[in-house]
Amino acid sequence: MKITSIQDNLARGLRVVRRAVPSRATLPITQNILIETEDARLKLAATDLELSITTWVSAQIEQTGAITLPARPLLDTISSFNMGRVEIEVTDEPYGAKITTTTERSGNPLTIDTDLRGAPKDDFPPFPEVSPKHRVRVDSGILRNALERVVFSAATDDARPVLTGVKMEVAGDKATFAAADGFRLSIETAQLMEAPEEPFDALIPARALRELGSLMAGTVATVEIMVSESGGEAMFRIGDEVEMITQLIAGTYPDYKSLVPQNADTTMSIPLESAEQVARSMQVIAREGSAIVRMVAQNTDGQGRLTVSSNAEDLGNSEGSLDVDIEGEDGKIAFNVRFLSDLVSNAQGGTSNPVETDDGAAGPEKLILAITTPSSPAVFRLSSHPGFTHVVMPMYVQW
Amino acid sequence: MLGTSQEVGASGKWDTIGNPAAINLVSGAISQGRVSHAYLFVGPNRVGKRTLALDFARALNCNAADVAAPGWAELAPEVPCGQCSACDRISRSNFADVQVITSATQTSKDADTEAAKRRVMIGIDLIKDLQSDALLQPYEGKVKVFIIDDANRMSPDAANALLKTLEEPPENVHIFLTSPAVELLPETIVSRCHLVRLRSVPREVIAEALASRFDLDSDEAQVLAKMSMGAPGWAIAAIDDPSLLDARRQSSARILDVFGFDLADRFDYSAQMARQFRSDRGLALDELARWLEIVRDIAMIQNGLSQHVVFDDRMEELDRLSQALTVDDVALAASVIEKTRDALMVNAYPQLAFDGMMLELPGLG
Repeated sequence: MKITSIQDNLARGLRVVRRAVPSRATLPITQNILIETEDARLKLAATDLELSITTWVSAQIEQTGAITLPARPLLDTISSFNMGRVEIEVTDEPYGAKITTTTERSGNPLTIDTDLRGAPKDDFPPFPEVSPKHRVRVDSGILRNALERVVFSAATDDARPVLTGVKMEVAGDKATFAAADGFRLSIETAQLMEAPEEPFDALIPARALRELGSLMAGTVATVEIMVSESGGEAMFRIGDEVEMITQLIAGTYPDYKSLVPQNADTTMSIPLESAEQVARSMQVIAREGSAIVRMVAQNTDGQGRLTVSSNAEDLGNSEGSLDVDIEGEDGKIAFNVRFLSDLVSNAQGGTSNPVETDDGAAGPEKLILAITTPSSPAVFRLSSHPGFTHVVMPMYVQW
Repeated sequence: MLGTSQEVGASGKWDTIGNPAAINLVSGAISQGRVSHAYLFVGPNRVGKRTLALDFARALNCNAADVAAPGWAELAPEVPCGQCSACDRISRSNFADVQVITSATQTSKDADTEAAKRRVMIGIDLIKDLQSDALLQPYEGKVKVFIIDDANRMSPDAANALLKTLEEPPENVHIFLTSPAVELLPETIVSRCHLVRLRSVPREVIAEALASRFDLDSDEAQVLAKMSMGAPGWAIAAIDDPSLLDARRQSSARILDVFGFDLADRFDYSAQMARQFRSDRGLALDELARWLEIVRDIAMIQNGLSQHVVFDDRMEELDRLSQALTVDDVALAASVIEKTRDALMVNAYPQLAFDGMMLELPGLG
């Protein structure tokens, strides 16, 4: 194999696939990146056996072929300079690649040859062939926002493996994503470009969706979501440049819909911006104590007032109050401050601009909190995203 | 002719040398479609426990036969084929769905592989990593296989954590454990596994396998087979590393000398052994194993079985010892050596243990 490419393009491609290079070397070859000529482009691919990322960069191909090279030295070699050309040529003895970097910056041509040992493509675990049974398309911005509001609620420890996944359910022209860790639950719906032939669902590792979010950042593209015939893998294709394949989690996801409380005694609506400020301020004290934030809502003839407080025995306390739109009775509840700040910092999704509300009027986003008793789960919604529901278990406190 | 892999019911390419009964048990499980999710391979060091576990993993993932398909029973004897990409890469530890876990395996909490290399126990982190890996569907193979090598090194926490997975592993997941002895594992682990016992391999079987597979001339193969004491793994390692054979010869020469030493020289030797034990306990324990082999050779000669002597390049000295020592002396020597080894295993003070051995050991004087 012999190819020439622009340094910037190649480095960008390598940084994309590097996200799939594992830090743990259960299978040493996976520390390598696969480089292969494919049609008139260069294919770059990496896998940690759970997540595989493939991307294509433009290159001048003198001789077709393939090789795998160790990820970090390869990326470092190519990132160690900029504004130049990179030539990669496979060498036989010892098996590897000769990487020639050429730059003419400041009118002073500089060429560096680096020989890297590699391993043949056949040693690389074959990438799963996803023969798609189900396929839908969605706008990358919509998907990214939806995932941002959901993925943070997934469990990070393996005590209950299914909870480390995000449940995706596609029905009609909507995809519903849900994640829960036993204390909180996020549900969000994303509008698809068209309805699939039949409804389907998949349990996708949250980690893969976090990587997908990063891969979609800054791009405006159509994302194709495919689930394989066997139900073992899902593929996400971003535009025609990046493909991510993830193994799916086996297991039965809890019936999360039944966990959403249907009735509320008190419903209040808080500007999201104020909620963010409140969460940030309360965190200062609460995180030093028992992480408890108390909320007391009073409804005086339709005039709502929400008082929020936290205290840490050895440090001090803080309290704030604000006017809110309220419906129903007085109410009170206490939350873990981390859950509150996770919610408000992810609720915006990728965008922070005011969005069109359902009735067409632009207005600041509002967080709608519905509670019943201090020991019942509370429901948060967003004024401009009717598909979003977030359920949080309260903390038990002495009132 | 004693059984070799060619004679077992299975016609696949098994890397395991000897132990036809164990191979038959495993290949029988495949052809009857009764592969259990957990197996425990038990046998002496380097006898082929991990090799058989890997053979099993290759057979289950071999591309030559679709073991999961109906009618696979007739095809099963052909696996592992040894030719396909799966067989090839599993043997080279380069297959996504077959993982060998040792105490030196890097955990997801280790920053690099160096951190893991110094570990001697299989900790709970490795088992937790296994459990989360096991939840994913096989990546490229038909089934996922985790081989916990020297599972007796599992910490109590790790063993307890593994119980749940052994009891109800996810679909398509098999867990193979190896251990030098059943007693070294908690009963709760053993009772959840199918037991496969491997025994020391007869000398002729090892010699033949070495000659045919590694292209050794028959004299060389004979020497290595004999010196391996029934452990093919040692013989194969010694092909690539001649120093192993030299070390074994040197240590046998040293031991034969010690029998003739006076007490002062014997104490020099015990001081040397104590130092050795502190710097590399494996080497010192190896030397004790050699002691037992020498004593065994002496007993063989005393019983008129000279053809079974291992260190026959020292026949003259062995002959002399077998005449100078009584049968009781030899039995005493064996029990003294074993006592010393057992004492060391429970952390006796090395210098005292070796001194005691030197005092009690019968000699030529």
